[in-house]
Amino acid sequence: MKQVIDKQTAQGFLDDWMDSLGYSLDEGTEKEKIMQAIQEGRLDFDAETEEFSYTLRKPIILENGQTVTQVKIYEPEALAVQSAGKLKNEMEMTIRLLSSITGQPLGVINRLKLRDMTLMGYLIGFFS
Amino acid sequence: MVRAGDIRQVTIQGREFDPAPETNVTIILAGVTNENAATGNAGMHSTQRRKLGGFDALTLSIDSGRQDYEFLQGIGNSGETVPVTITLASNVTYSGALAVEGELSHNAGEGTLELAMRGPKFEVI
Repeated sequence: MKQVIDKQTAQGFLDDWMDSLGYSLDEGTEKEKIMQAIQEGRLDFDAETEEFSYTLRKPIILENGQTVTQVKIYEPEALAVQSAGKLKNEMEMTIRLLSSITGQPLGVINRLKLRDMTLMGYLIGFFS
Repeated sequence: MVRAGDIRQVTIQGREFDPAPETNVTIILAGVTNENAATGNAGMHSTQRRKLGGFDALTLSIDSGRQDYEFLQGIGNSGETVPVTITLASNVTYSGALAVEGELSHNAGEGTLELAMRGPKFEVI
């Protein structure tokens, strides 16, 4: 995908977001993927509402013809984490938590492509 | 492929509710109903009427601490449609803007509430 933000600016954004949430991210795959999303203009953060806006790499086309192109990710409540934690395996827990955080029903979250789901998982980490 | 079973998720106006154990919801698609009657000369007189979509007989497990009943009654009182999704055991999700149908009452002994809702559209997404 075309990069619309240069690396230095993207790093500045990421540093601000980490300061805002009191989170630090080491060099590695996770940081690379987040930086890539920022540089491609697909990831933004609202410091006031503490919400990420993430544009999906692969939009989800629904059965009714509508398309989900962007999701909002915000800090989950303890109850949502607890409910997700009761499930059998890690994938089910992640799907349930993403449904709770994004407000998208399970049937939609189940159709996320792996790269999008992985990146959204990284973003949840900002709130840990 | 799974065709029946427990409801996996219910959301009403952004709040996730717990489906009561073994609840058996009836899903209704919006569309038309037909009434057919015989004419005197052995023909057929058909009347087609529009029907709303939604669901009947969804039993929810009510969390009084979260004021689930009050939340739903508030939606009923407004008379407005709200976003609703139901994900079935097959992972198929129905979605639509629905209004509360009929009366709401909380069975405190069972900790449940039976809900019906209707709207212009309730479709698979």
